[in-house]
Amino acid sequence: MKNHLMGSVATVACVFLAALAGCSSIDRSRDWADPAVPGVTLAQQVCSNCHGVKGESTNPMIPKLAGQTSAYIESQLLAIRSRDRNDARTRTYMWGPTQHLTNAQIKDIADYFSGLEPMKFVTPSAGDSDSGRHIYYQGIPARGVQPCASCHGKLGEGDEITPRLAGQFDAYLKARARIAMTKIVSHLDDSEIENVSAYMASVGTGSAPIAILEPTGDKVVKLPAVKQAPTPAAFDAQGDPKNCHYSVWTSGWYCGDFWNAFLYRLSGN
Amino acid sequence: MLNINFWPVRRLCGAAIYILLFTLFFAKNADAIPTFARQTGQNCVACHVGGQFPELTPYGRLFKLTGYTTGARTLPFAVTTVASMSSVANVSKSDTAAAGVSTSNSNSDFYKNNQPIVATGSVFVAGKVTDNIGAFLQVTYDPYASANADGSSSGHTQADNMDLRYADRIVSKESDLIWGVSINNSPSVTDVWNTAPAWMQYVPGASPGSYVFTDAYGPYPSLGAGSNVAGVTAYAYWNQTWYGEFGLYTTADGGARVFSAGIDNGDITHLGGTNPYWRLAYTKAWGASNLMVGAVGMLANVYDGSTNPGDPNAYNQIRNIGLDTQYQYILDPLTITAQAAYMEQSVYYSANTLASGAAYQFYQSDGVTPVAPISPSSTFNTFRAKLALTYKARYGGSFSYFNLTGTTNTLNQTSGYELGGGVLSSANGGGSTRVTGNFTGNPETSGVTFEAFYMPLQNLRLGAQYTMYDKYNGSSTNYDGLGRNASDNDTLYLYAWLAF
Repeated sequence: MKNHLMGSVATVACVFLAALAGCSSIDRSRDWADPAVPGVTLAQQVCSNCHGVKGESTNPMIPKLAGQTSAYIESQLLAIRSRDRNDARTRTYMWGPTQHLTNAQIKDIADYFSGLEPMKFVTPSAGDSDSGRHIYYQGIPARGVQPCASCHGKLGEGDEITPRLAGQFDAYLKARARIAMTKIVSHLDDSEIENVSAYMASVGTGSAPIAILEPTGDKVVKLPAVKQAPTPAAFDAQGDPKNCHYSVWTSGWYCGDFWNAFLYRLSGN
Repeated sequence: MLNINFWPVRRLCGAAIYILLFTLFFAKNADAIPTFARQTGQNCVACHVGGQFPELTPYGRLFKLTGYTTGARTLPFAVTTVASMSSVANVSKSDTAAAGVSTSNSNSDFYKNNQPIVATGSVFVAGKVTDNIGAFLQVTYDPYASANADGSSSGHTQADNMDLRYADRIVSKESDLIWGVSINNSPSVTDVWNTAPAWMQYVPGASPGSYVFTDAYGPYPSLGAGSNVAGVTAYAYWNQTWYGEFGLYTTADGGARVFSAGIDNGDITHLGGTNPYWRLAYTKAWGASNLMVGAVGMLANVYDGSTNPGDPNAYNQIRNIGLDTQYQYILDPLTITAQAAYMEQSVYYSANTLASGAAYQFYQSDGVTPVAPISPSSTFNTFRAKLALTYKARYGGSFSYFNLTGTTNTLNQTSGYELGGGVLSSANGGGSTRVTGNFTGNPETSGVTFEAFYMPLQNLRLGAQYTMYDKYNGSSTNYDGLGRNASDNDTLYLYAWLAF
């Protein structure tokens, strides 16, 4: 019962594939190493796989980008491409996609996501939003903590290089706070960071009207400079951040000495 | 009753440590890397849940559906290898054991029991070809493919999973359509959920006799056409919500012979006519969770081996319809995956099969009355559920439950009473099959598998599976007619699985 029809179908399919091999469109390319691919194309074809085509990622491990300030997205992509932003999740998921991006592509990707409807509010996973609201608008002057609103805006909308926080996943904000704003949040404890994160998550697009608080008027106490928080482990302190290599033998990327990277991995990091 | 010889266990652990140290000291840079990781520059966990290759994350599914074309084209080679050891609970209820044949002899029923081996190896050519064309081509070597008369074994290499596809994605802020065409050699190999017949069983098995009761050979929902055939499928995924696929399959010969490369002409699967395959799935994602609910089916005409592939009376018709669901929770440092799949397989035997009857004439317990004639059809219902967890993409475990039920058919009876009474194995002049025989003609097999694994590196998985049988081939006790019980088949399987 040799089937000549199926044989013909298979032959046609092979010829079809061969013909299609020359018919790719750069406007639907997923090659992030090709400088000719428009940034908008990369944003929709590739970035959207995690961040959503409307910038509304689903998984709270993945930051929303919808309506984020263009300058901030651009600065972060540049920092990721240069390896200056080198936390574990960035190394795992973002170093690969950004390593060949051009400045023009980065600018276009940033503009694409920035132009989308701003990120929708999220029900916080933890924390006291009302307590966070007070810290956001009034700070804690006695402990040298100025109001977050003074930089991030009265609606959490951000300003140029200062990122939008309103509508971002609270778990993501909490994870990034101590890495991205080490000195500023050094006088907040973990529960306070959690509360501010919860408040910002809850005031995204579509939330109830935001109840802005006026600052108390108390003068923010200027405290002595705080030492940079210690790096998580010897691994991050080893060598120049730009001295990084991709290897499957550790967590994808490692910086500095290979053997120390392996020991770092075995030590539970 | 489990019987573990600690010395082989220590030897296997030593081998695993040797492999680990070898790869660490001789792999400083990115000279040899799993091909998709090199193409994207991303850690394996980006596409594989908790690092459990090949189980796919939502991002990994999109990578495959868009034709493996994300990223920059790179050297597309990768290799995997598995070192393992199997330990069967009871190796004494066996004709070869009774004859004093050592388990180091390839003719032993439990060849390589309690002995570490290099079980298998695969070479992959995979990745981006053009912006729209990508491939996943696997060739596998089995060192224990066949037993030699002198007690040694011979290896064999053949085509494994093969999927060559063209894909495109038309995406905007309003809609998202991914579509593609695949030329492949196994129905459901194109699937992106690990409940698919081609993917639900993925921890590599091995060929020696002592592995016949490992989880890899347990009941899994499967399609009657098997693998190493040739087909074309077309698929579409709309708004990351609805997935549909349809295809046709045929024999992998002539121009498609590469899909069955390495298999002798007389052994390849012959399919008659066009053999349709279809798959539907609905998906939803929320927070750290995602869910798939789906269905799959196929209609295949499979040559029974009786005369020649040109004989229209020599084809069994196999109809498959299945339901499956998969839930994933992915939020550092924890991942949870729950899978369930059910497959109903109806087999309508060929005219030649019905005319020739059963291969051997067995009798009822009185030794006089022949067993019932073979039935013209059989139904097999396979259910499997699995719950898996990983922590920090390093520590993991899983629990699986399997249950195969079906109709009783003397066609499937490979053990029974001889004329005059008594049950004799083929080694003793009778017709019964010891160890893997079926005394009742009923296929019922059920049990569980526990698994724990550790991944010190993202491409190295050290694991242990323990499979326990409640029923085997239709019975809990004396399932082969010669005294073997289902629990005698309980097996401990240790493995070290390396990809580079």
